Amino acid sequence: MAATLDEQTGNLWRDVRHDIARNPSALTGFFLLLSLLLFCTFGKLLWPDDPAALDLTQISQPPHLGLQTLVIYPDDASPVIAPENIHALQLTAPAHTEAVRLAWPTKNTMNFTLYRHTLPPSGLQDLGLPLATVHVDSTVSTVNYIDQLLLENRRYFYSVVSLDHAGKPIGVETLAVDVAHATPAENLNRHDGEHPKTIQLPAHPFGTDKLGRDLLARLIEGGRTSLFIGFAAPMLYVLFGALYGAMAGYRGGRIDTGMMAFADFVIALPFLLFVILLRIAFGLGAGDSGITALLVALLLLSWPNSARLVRAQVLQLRSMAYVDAARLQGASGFYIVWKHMLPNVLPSILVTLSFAIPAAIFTEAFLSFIGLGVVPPASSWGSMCNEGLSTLLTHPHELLFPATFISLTVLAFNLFGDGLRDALDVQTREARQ
Amino acid sequence: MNKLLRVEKLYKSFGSGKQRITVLHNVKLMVNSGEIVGLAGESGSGKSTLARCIAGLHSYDSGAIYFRDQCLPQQFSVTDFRKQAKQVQMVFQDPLSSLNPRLTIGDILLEPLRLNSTVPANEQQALAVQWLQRMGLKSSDMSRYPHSFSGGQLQRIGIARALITQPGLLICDEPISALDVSVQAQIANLLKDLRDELNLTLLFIGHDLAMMRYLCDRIVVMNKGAITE
Amino acid sequence: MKDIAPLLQIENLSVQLPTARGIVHAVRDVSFSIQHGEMLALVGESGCGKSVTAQAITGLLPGSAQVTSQHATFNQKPLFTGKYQNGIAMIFQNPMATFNPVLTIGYQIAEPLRQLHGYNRKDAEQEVVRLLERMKISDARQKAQCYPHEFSGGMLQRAAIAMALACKPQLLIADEPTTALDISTQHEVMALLTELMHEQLRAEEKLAILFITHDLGLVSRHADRIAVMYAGEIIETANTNDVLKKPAHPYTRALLAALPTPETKRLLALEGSPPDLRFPPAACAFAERCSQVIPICTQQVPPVVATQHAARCWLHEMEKT
Repeated sequence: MAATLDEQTGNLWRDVRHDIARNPSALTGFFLLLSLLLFCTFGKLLWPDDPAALDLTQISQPPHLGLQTLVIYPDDASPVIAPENIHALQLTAPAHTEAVRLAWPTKNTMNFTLYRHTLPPSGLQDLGLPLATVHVDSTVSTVNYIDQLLLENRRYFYSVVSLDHAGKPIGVETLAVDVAHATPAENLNRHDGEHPKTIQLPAHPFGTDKLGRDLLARLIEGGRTSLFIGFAAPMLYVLFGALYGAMAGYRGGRIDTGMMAFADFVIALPFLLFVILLRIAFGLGAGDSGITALLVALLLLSWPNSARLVRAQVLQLRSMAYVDAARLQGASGFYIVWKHMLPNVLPSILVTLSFAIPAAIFTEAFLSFIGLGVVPPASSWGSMCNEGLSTLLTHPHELLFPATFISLTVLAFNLFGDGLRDALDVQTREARQ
Repeated sequence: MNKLLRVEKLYKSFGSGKQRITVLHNVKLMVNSGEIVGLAGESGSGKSTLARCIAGLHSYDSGAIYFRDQCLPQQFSVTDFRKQAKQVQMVFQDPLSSLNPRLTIGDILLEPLRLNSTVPANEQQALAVQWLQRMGLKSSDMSRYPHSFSGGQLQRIGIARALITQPGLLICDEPISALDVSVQAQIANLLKDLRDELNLTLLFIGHDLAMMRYLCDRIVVMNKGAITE
Repeated sequence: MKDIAPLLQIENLSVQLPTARGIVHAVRDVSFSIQHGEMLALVGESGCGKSVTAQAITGLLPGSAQVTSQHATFNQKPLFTGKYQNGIAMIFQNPMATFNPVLTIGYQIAEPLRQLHGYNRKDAEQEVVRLLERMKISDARQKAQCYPHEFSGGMLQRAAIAMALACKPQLLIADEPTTALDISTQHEVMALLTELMHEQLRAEEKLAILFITHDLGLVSRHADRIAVMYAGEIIETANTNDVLKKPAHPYTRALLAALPTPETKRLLALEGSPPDLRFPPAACAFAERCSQVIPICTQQVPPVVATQHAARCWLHEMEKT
């Protein structure tokens, strides 16, 4: 190998920064991380909504920036249209989410089935949700129906199928209805004595969940929990593992054997069982946030991997001549570990950390998802996924947003960690060049 | 000439039970103040082990090592190392692994001064620079890291680190075997000059008899853990 | 010997290695040839490009390296085709790293026999024993079952030579095979290599060796010719005796002066260090450290005169004319 004597100071951290700056995926990961951190730390200043506040006027609302709503007063009388004026399926009053009033003439038959669909029906087999089957006697000339079933502000397609005596469909009539958002006045808690027809509801850029809580505020709040566990747990257990491993590796001999045997024992402990036991030990019932139990379980069980890694490195470093040289100068064990070993082990500790953090975030999310982690009203991205799952089919955004945030965080950490590992590894650095 | 180092009936073995290997076998060695003693032998003959025993990096089983007529303990503690730090220092074979890659040359040279400080803190920096220049390096090299130096330069920094506390005895454990022939000559000359300048005592370990004949006043040959010549 | 075509002929070989801190011109305009059954020693300091030259010949350089040569033939067939070159084997500096620690020595020596020459298991086994015996390894049959860590450094290097020979090469490239060994073992290995060459010469299966080292003293007794490299250039090529008795280049003289002999009062050590090969000098590369430097040395690259004793030095050039 040719001697490449560099006249400049060879600085490791400068090289690492340089490498990461040239690695587009690592850079992406870094900026993604930065924005996620900013989102969670300063997001609350920009979006001060209370993540626990229930907004009954907006249940499971998809993302919107401000919503015009009709205010429905209890004494509102809907105008009545005379039956003789009804010649086809039609609305008898403006449609809103509190009620859609329909009417249609009876004509020849007395049996009808009413369907509601979110898409234009394509045939008799595709009419959507059956709302009602109606029998009327021959004296009635029009049928009135009020639909109040889980209405949303969107376009619906109502179809009336007329049936003969045998229950066979003989005709179908479809009406497209644009439903406006409406709110009963008693839900608004207005005490100013005014009675506006419409009001502006607060914006929810990420929508609301099934209890009407603002998703953006909950994502910020949940991100704090997720990132707190994601950072705090790995920091503590990687630090502990590193110290434990350094101790074992530096002392060597029987102490090393014993310490590593204990580490192996800890690895063998089942994590889930431990989490459940800890929840019981902490006396966690319904409504208690499970963050502490989760943190303790992660700390107790995750340190041996970093301990093993650091021990192997320290064992190798112990035989380096510069350690002997320092001993000859009368350096104490602590000094050698601190000054000579730690700086050499630090890069791999950092890399371990950059992969332990997404792992911890994911563990938290997983445990919260299966209900063993953070408990409402405290939120985390994992528990939000859990809550969002129940409305997945009707309101997918409630699962989609927290899941995206988890994925982005884990992806960002992995990209950044990959870049960091490549940049810190002297061997691959040379191979790449 | 007074005796600086006296090794008497030294035994040393590694391992235990069946796998016990005796590395040093009744070793006797004498080093007088101000001389360069060569310790020659093939690899595996125990010369490095002997050196490490004298420096205190290995414990020994029986026998005795006297340094300035004081018997050294079998097993060194940190306090013993501290006591001996100004008496015995070592230069190692592999120049790169003998310097911590994450420390600057300045930090490496200042470390011995900081650890056994009789030199006031404000003079340490100047002393380190002075040694660096004595080794033919520039004062601006203080802030560079080991991997940007060549093998010969690194070995010179290693020698400077060992000598900066002015020890009575410098043990050189094959300091030139890993270097190019032309650089070997540079280091050999440097050691010779330093001896004349500082009245150093050197225990020089090597396997190249021609080079040792040039450098040393006296050569001791080791074979299979015992001194034969 | 001169009238038959040389086994290996390299003309104007240059290698550029891109690194993080710039392109290193590791080998610059190197020309040499090796005859059948000849030992050429390539001598120089670490970083002078001698290993890179060897790696270029064997095609072991990383893909990013740029190898250019006007004319390069091995056995009159073009070299640097990027394909496996039959007939060239290599032994490396560190015998421990040459062998895979989890396979037996015998298996690893047999590998080229079975892969390249289609030996069956039994024949390969016998051939391995024969090769090991030829390398003066006693109990060859048992030793073939051993793992690398059970061998000493010298024995391992001999086994490495056996492995190289299993490829039935015409050219053996030895890249500092003795540097990691003791002096006494070094000479053993050297003697073995020379003996091997003579044996092969008698058997009409001529084996040439390109021996790479930094130790002029080591090869002085064994090599037929010596090529001295400095800063990526070959600065002197001649028969061993000529180089040792009448070194033409000041650098060769300095190298010789650095070797201790019983009479040496003081070694003449070269001061300074070789030039940075990222910015190769446009003049004589050695001018900076040369004790006999004359003005033209720092201005122009000295020419090489292809004679029996070639040197790349202005002084040498002037003597001739």
